[in-house]
Amino acid sequence: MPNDEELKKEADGQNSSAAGEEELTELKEKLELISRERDEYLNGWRRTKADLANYRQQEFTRLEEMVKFGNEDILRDIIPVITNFDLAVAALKKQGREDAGITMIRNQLEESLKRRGLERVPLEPGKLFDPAKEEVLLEEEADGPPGRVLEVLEDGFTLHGKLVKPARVKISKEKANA
Amino acid sequence: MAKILGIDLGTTNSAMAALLGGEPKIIENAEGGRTTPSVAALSKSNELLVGMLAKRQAVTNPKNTIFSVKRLIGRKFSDPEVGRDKAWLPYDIRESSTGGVEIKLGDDWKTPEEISAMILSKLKKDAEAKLGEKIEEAVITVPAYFDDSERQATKTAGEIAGLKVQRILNEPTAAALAYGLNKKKNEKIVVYDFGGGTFDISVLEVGDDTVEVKATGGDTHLGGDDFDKRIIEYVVNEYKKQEGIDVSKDPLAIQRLREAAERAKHELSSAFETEINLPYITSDAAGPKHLLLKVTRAKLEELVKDFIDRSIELIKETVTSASPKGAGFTIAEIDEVILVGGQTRMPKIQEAVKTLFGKEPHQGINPDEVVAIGAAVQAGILQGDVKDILLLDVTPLTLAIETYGGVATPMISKNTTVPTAKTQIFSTAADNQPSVEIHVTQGERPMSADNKTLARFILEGIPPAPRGTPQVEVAFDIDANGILSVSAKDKATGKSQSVKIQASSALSKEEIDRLKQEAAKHQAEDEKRKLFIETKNQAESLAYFAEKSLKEAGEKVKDDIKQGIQVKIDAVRNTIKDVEGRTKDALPSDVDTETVKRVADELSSEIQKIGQAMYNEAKGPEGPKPEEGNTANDGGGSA
Repeated sequence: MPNDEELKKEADGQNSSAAGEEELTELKEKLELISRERDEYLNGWRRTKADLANYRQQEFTRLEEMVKFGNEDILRDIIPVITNFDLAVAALKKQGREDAGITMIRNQLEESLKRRGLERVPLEPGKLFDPAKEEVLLEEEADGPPGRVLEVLEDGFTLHGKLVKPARVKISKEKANA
Repeated sequence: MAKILGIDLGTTNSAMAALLGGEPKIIENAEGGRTTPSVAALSKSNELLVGMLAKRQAVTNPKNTIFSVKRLIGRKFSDPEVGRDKAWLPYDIRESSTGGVEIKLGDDWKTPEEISAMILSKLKKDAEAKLGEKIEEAVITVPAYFDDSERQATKTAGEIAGLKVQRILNEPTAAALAYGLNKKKNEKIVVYDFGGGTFDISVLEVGDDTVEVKATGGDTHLGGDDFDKRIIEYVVNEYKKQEGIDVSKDPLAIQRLREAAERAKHELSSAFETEINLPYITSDAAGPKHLLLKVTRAKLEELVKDFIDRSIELIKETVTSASPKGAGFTIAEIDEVILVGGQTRMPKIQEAVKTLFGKEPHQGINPDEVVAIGAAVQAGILQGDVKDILLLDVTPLTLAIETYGGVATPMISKNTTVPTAKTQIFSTAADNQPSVEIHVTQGERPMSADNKTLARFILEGIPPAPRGTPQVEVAFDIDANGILSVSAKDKATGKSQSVKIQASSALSKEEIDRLKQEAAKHQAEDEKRKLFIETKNQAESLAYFAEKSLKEAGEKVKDDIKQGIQVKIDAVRNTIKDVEGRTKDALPSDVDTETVKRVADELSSEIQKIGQAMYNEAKGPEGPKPEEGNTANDGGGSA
């Protein structure tokens, strides 16, 4: 007959193996939780790092754009001045009073703006009207195919390739009796 | 996760925005515009054009250039509004088989949904190009008065454009969201929206997590374009009076005038007078004619007075009339007013609204963009949770270190996202100073004594050296849990001391607010005190430097010059002592600051004599080097 002491020991042994199992399960669960959390945090960290890298890149592009287009407002304000010079040159020519001085001043202004990226868009009459670069103000019956530029009323301008003012044009339409 | 696009689909112009880096940002279209004209057209060469491009060919293609389609979407053809619009719209519309509206475009008849979808498609495509990712979902805004059918039709338009419409959002609600007013409980809000072609008033009530539209009103045929027209009419008439020429029939002249009128209107929002300057506007037998006309802000206000008065009357009606015509509130009950639409930039309108409600309207966000911004905020709410596994905190108050004269020198300014760290080098304020005290404070006041002390410790064992020479590196580091570590290290000996402060951000909300309020309340006097201390510190540095220069110059400088300088040095020190004695607990006056500055300036010019004297002494090509200016380091640990 085992005495009380021995019985207790045996029971403890059983208990301790049961307790060991419980502890193991608990630890496994904990490990799983921690692994899951680790993945979550690692992902979060990666995402944040990626966000920062992307943000830096976007910010860099934005800064580049800012440098390029930072003076867009003032250049937009100056375009009408060039356009008015064009009108002056044309008006003088029409009156047979051509003045090289006026043309020189206009060119000087235009040259200095060109160095800042502002360029006149060359446009020849006869070309097909393109709403990406031009705005039509008038239509006139004319021979030949319709939708062609008959007259450039005002030149267009781009700033570093971006259209900041469309050219204003008169285009052709089919003759009514044609 | 793909972004949800916020779209303000307007009558005249549309705009789009998305959350970028957690902030709602306007997305530019392919042409670089922040707004896109709500216009679609079939060009004469059978090309579909949308936005600015469609607008550029409108003059010669009126039958196939569709604008203002928002006025037709979701309406019955028999709707009296449609009847009224049919009269002036240059394109053809007819009744569809289901009783709706159909619009002729080329040889086809299109529904308003299909036309709106063309605009939405362009926005989607441009946003995708700009963001470099696919956009499949959107929040689209509509006027608060839109009925179910108009909302459904707008949603259909989105779907035709390939967008899953996650929410149809009221425009005034979007504006309130943009200003974060949805978080305010039990508030009554009026949104005054003066767009290009429509004028809308909405009365909102914010409840628990809901924004309810209590009433809507306005005039669907009144907008900023009417203001432009008034200016153009005025200029044309004035010119007729001056020159006897009517320029209104000349398409180029009228186009130039339209632009000039719009520009003048914009300029008169900030200036009181502007000039419409159109050389070579036309010509007659005598040669070219120019148009030059001054327009004052007062003149503009007179020209459009009836529009503004009417808009104010409409507000009163919408707010105070009994339901269903109005919200049945009193004007005094309104808590917040929001201004939306470009026309609200006009100071007279802002003033009229302010006078009516007796409070400053919200107008910080660009009024052309506020609705799209709000739509992006709503998109963010819908998208929400996913990305916010890691919530980042910010420091609610500025963390600073006390420097010479009791000034709180900021190390980590408020609203900095944590975790973060900052290191700065400080120096000593006196010759042979053996230790520096690091006093860490929290708060917005410029003087340390007025802020909350977080920690104080002393770094000892600094080897004897003239003031400003030792280099003490102070580092602040806040970890993700808001625990602040401060360390100070003497660069020469490597000796260091540090402290950890657990509760750097554990102030209660009330305490933070109190500190912020106090800072605001004392701002003026604090600035005065800070200016005095800075002036005093500079004066003291100068006195110190002058004394040192005298010693170094030795015999090279004559006694009378030395004496003159010493008198000025004493004057500086005595003046400071005197002022400090008098204003021990009080605020030094502007005169005190000026006095210290004056004696310091006098000393500054006096000490130049040392340089002159030494040059005279040397009298050779290799004279002494010029003075290097004030060498005092910024700051210095207070001893």
